[in-house]
Amino acid sequence: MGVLALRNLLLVVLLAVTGCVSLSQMTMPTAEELADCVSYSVDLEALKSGREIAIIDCTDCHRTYWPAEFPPQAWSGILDKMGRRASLSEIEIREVKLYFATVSEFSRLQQASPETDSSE
Amino acid sequence: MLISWLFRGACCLTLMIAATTPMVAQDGNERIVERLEQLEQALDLSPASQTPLLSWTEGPRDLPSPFTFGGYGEVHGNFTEGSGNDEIDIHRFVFYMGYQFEDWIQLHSETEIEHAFVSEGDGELSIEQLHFDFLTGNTFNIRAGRMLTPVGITNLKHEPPSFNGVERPSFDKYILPTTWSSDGIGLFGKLMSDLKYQIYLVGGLDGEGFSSKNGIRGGRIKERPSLNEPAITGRFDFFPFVRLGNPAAQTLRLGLSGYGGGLDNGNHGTNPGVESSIWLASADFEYSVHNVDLRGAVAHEQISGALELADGVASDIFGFYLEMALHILPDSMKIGRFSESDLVLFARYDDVDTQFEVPAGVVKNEAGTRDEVTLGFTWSLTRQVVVKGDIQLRDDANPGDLPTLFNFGLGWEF
Repeated sequence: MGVLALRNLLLVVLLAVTGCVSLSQMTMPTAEELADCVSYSVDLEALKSGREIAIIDCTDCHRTYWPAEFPPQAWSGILDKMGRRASLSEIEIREVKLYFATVSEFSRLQQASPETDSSE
Repeated sequence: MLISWLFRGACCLTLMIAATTPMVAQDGNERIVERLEQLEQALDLSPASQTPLLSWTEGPRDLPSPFTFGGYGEVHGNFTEGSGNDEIDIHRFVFYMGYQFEDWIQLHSETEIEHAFVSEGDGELSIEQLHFDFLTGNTFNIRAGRMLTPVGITNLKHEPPSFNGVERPSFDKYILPTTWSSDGIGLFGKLMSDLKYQIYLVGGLDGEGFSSKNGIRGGRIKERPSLNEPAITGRFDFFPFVRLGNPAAQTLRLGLSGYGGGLDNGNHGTNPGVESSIWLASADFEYSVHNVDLRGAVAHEQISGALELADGVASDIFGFYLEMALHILPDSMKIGRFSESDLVLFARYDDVDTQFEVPAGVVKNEAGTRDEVTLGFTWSLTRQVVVKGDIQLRDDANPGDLPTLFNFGLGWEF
């Protein structure tokens, strides 16, 4: 059993090392990175707080859901429900909504125009 | 219908404009503002409208209902090498209902049916969670009722799309036995922005339910736990890199949890009369980077007065597991009905020893020392529905290998 198990584990490790899969959705950019792309007065602290909530509070009961996994409009309803289940305050729900929707929208825009460097 | 067409229109307009106009400096910024304004309009569809995205600080949100409903479930097909023990099992069906009395008073509940039918000695219908959360601020919130014992990973995160493998890890059956609920009261919150905690005073375990092979699993009291010898339990979760901009490390979570108390507790307040106690310490971690997920946990349990308990109960129990998972479905294949799909290959090693150390004069039960390699896949049809399959290669301290298990499962959450 030991030899077979080791062989199978090695196969999985090789897949991990050599797999070159484009998975651009799996990211949580910082608030500063998002703020660099806009000139209006976005609340940087709210985006920062939203990102921290996304990483810390939104994984209490389930895996990490990346903002780009759902369209921006979907996050409002999702986070209304999930925010309650995570016992988030009203302000925290607003902040994490802002973060998820903003990142989701940027992700879709960047995927639609991949040659553009939006940080310039 | 109108909402559907407005949504489609907003998306088409977004894609058209994004595809035809380069995002350069000032022009790009203006367009992003325009897109976000359209996003606001797309969100602001219902009569009881929510606060627009960009002006989220203005005024309270109008929530459509104080109720929140949800649930999860699993159906398994289990096949054992060389035996006639193959079966299909509606393993779990769990219903969640939450109610928000006020912004700061929330009720959370989960009711569970296991194995489809409750009969003598099999099947289960139980309250898995039923607690109030009183939100006082960021640091000291109060939780009272029946909550999930805050140890390990899977006990807190056990919806089918949240873990790999058809069955829960053996570590989470025999070392930190899920689902493990405790009744009591305590505090939870954040001590710092990257450090969370939970700590509760709860009804304890029934030491008479321990066994040499299954460890502390049978000590959970699911009906009316005694308060004769309460226990204290809690955990810390630390996110060391959350405030950094390094995407490679941002999701790392380190956890430390514990449980301790007397074991002279029974159901309906009838106590077994044993002089015994348990102290448990566990550490765990989760880390996701790009398309790789890593998680693992280790736990040590020390049982004093083990000789007073059932024959062969250990004085020390130890176990750990380590898992790596790889997301392999490329974005180019996530189209149409499979736009939310994902495919994960995983490998997990469980080392479970419910006979790590036994009292002097006790003969070890070799079946309590076992390890397991699980290789499998999790295919997420959508974010909420998963198809799973795995093979489990098992061994214990007895001569010869244990039969290999082949498992298939359908799981969901909503």
